[in-house]
Order: sequence, then structure tokens, then C-alpha cells
Amino acid sequence: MIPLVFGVTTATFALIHLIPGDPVELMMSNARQLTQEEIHRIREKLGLNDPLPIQYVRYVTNLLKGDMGKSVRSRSAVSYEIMQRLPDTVILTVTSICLVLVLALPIGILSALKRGTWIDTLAMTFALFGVSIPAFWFGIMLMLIFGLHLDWLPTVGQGKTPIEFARSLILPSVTLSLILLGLVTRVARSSMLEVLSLDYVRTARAKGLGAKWVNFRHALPNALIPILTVVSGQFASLLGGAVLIEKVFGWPGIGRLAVDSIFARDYLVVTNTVLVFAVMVILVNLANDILYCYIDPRIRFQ
Amino acid sequence: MAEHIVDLAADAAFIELTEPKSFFYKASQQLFGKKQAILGFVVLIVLVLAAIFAEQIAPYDPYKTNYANVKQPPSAEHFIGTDELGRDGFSRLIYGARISLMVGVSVSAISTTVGVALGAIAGYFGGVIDMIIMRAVDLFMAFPFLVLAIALVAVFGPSLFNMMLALILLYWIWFARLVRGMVLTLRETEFIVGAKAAGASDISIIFRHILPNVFPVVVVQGSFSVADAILIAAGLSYLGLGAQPPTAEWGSMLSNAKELMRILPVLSIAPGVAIMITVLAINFIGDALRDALDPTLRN
Repeated sequence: MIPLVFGVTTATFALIHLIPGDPVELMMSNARQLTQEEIHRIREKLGLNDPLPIQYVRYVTNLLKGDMGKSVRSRSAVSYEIMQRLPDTVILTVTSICLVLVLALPIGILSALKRGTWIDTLAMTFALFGVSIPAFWFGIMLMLIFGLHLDWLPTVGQGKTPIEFARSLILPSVTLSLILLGLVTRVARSSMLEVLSLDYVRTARAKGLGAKWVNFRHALPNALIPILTVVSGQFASLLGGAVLIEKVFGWPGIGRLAVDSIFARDYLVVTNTVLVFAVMVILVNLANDILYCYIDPRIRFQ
Repeated sequence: MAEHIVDLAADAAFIELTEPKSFFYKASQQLFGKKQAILGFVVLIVLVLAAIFAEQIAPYDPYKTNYANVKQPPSAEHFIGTDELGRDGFSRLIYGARISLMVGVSVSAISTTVGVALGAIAGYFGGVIDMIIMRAVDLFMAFPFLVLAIALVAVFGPSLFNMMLALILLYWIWFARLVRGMVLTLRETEFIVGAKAAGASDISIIFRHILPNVFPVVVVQGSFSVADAILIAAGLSYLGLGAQPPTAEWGSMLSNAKELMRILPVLSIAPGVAIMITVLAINFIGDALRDALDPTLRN
């Protein structure tokens, strides 16, 4: 994990230096024209004339202190901008993951238990559409139907009061959940099918246990492990999708911040948001590894 | 994308190694014997023809503005109406097929070629190249795909070409990883060891023995990645990071239609349906290819 964090910071550092154009000019893009001497003085002050390794060490030490530099657009600290909006992205993705689990698990398990029936076919068709529909367009369609046509839910922005907030969360989170819904349904089905064909399940049946008991007490816990792997492994694609969905629904998370900052040429915000996204992915994978030990005693005893 | 690769790494070891002559015959029989696959092929052929002959099929010039005829509802002249500049939505939709298919196929083809080549080298020779590629893979996997694509486009500057470049830079890694894993298993199999013992050179082993065995899986993955790239490219263009206005592209058409959502919802619906149909058709073909080429699922 430590080398990965090192690699990720190096990558964002490289990204900052790959961006074309002089950082000082980018920073001062809105201000008056600067003379050569002034630019040189600012470069010196910001340490941009130092060799790259020194700049890199400074970048990492500043990061550890929580200093990500200043936003060109708002003139406030980048870390402040990101922390301000991070909770909104977290709420959106966590709600979506809960929705995915609540919907995909029962559908996938049911279609495994009813393998070959119309329920199975219906569930798998649903899953195929789930992976073939562009999620952001699905969001636009939900907006059209539930926002404009039926006028049940707000389409854009975020509500202020708790109830309004929850109402404005519904459409974005349902949209975002579509990204993983089809995949997790498929995995839930195949994982359950695999466990059901194992010897110990047959033994449980052979000794006369009821179908419900066998399916849910014996088979399900083992079937959940691969599903957990996929959900946490796909957390990254959920976060990526959040960037688009936040933009569609005007949800004030860090994804929208990143996209808006690209067009404002506010590159420090862009690169640091990318870094925050990567750190989130790494943390979720770590949490997943720890969670495994609790769920699966075999891993704990190894 | 990721989900296909997860189960394919396991499949790699089970690739059919015998009956080389009847293999593609059997595969094609299986392929065309399926209703879904036929549907997918038919739809894709229609889309490809529409893309190639867009000039002949489209009733209007997709870029011609007509201020006397703006925001028209769907009618016999304009199947899905006109946008705020009076451009015909249906004509733009047809031209959009061109860009989506071009992006999907070229991104997939180039990244597959690069990924297979580098993956085969890494897996076969190991050593420093292998280490560099695998570290790069680990690093790229830590970032959300779309976020990294957005960051790269930010570096290159938003344009259709730069978006494709960014996607290729990210996609080849998947293929390199996939192929490397397969080559690692293949390298230890008896027929490769035998070929080596018989004095075959490394080049001839890679081209005559390893690549043909990797090929079926790569074809299946390649077809899925076309669908995936089309979805991602549409998303990036929607954000304004891909195809730039006034280009007739489905993603940017959706972003453009947002202003007219209240009065002309059809302009928001049609491009999405077009993307969905294209992606579904390609996924049908991909599924059929998988069934046809993957012996573990056969019979």
C-alpha cells in the first residue's frame, strides 16, 4: 500500500508538470500582463526554478501537511475546496452502493435459485441492459420522467433541509447505482450457482435440511465473498461514474469540481482531486481486505 | 470492462489447444446459430452502413443552421425535430454513428494491438520489462478509469483526437495485463516446452504457438472493449472533453439537448437510444463470440 501511495503521488506530480503552459502565467491568467522580471521573481518565490527532485520533496511534505496549494479560480486553498465538497461525493457513492446491494443481491440470488425459468431470463435481460445503457443518459431520462413530466422530484442541485436533501439525492444515487447494478446482479447469480453446486451444499440437502435453510444459512454466506470482492473492486468505476452523474445533476461533489476546474484552467484543483480519488480507492481496497478477515475465518487463520 | 477480464484470467488456461482446423468452423457455426448474435450482427451492419453512407442517407446537412426553422417538434420532414440552431436532429444522429463507431473501433484496435504485444513480451521474457509493465498496471488500477481519462484530457486539451489518445493510453494496460497472465500459464505448458526443446526460436514460439492461443480471448475482450469505449467516449463528450461542438456526436448532442429538455425531450432521448442500441448490439456479438470461442462454456 505504501509504494502505491508513493506511486500515486508521483503520478499526480508528473501530471502537474505535464500540463502545458507556464504555471505562473496560468495562475495569473486573469491578471494584467507581467514583465519577464516579475514572472522570474514569482517563480523563484514559488520554488519553480528548483530542480524537480527538490520540488517533488516539497510537494510531498506540503501534502502531508495538508497543503495542496491555492485555487486560481476561488483564491482559497485547494484542500479547503476539496474538503468542502468531499462529503457530498461520499454520500452519493455510499447511497448508490447501498442501492446496488439492496437491488442486485436479491435479484441475482433469486435468478440463481430459479435458474432457467422466466425469472432468470428476465433478471439477466435486466442485467444486460444495465451494462449497456449509458448511466448519464439514464439520469437524463429519470430527470425527464420524474422531474419534468411527473414533477415529483427536484432535477438539479442539492436541497438545503434534510428532507429536501434526501429528495434531491434520490435521482443521482439511483442513476449512479446503474453503473454497478447489472454487473453485481450477474456476479451474485453466478457466485450463488457455483456455491449451490458444491459438495457441502449437497450434503446439507442430503441430510434432509429444508431448502430455505440450506440456501440461506449454508450457501449464501459463501456466495457473498466473491460479490464483496467485485463491489469493492468496482468502487473505482463507481467513483468515475460519480464525476459524470454529479455533472448531470449539478450535485456539488468533487467530481463536478474537477470537471469545472478543467474548463477554468484551475489545474491544481484538477490534479489534487485526481489524487483524492485515488486515495479513496486505495482506502476502500484496504478496508475490503480487513473486512475479509471478519467474514471469512479461513483467511483469518492463515 | 473489468468484469470480463476477471473471469478471463481464469479461462486462459483452458483455451482449446487441439483441433485447429475445425475450430473456427465450429465457432462460426455456433456464432450464427444464435438469435441474439444474428440480431447483434444485423443491427451493427445497419449502423456501419449508416456511418459509411451518412452523406447519402441523411436527409439534411448535419451542420447547416437554419434560423427560420429552430426548435421544431418531430414531423415528417424532421423525424426527431430540430435543435436551437435549426439543425436536423435525425441527420446529426446518423453522422453521430460515424464518430462513435470510429472511436470505439480505433481505440479498441490500437490498444489491443499494443497491449497484446507488450503483454506477450512481458509474460514471455519476464525481467525488467515485466516489472515496469506490472507496476504501471498497479498504478493505473488505483485511479478510477474515468477520472484518469479526464485528467489526461485536461493535460492534452479537450478534443476528439486527444480523448481517443487518452483512452488508448488507458486501455492497452488492460490487454497487457490479460495477455501477460495468459502467457505466464502458456509458457509452462508441455507443447511450448516441447517447441523450445525442438529448437524453435523465441520469435517463432510467440508467433506460432502463443499468440494463436491468446487470440480467441483477445477477440472476445476486444469486442467488449469497443462497447465500453463507446460508452466512455459518449460520457466524456457529454462533459465537453471529447468531440467539440458543432461536431455531430451522440454525447455532445445530449449535452446540447439539455437546454431544450423541457420543450423538445426527443432530442435528449434519441442519442441515448442510439448509444444503447449500438452498445447492446456489440455486447450481443461479444457474448456470442465468448460462447463460440470459449470451450469451457461449449456444450
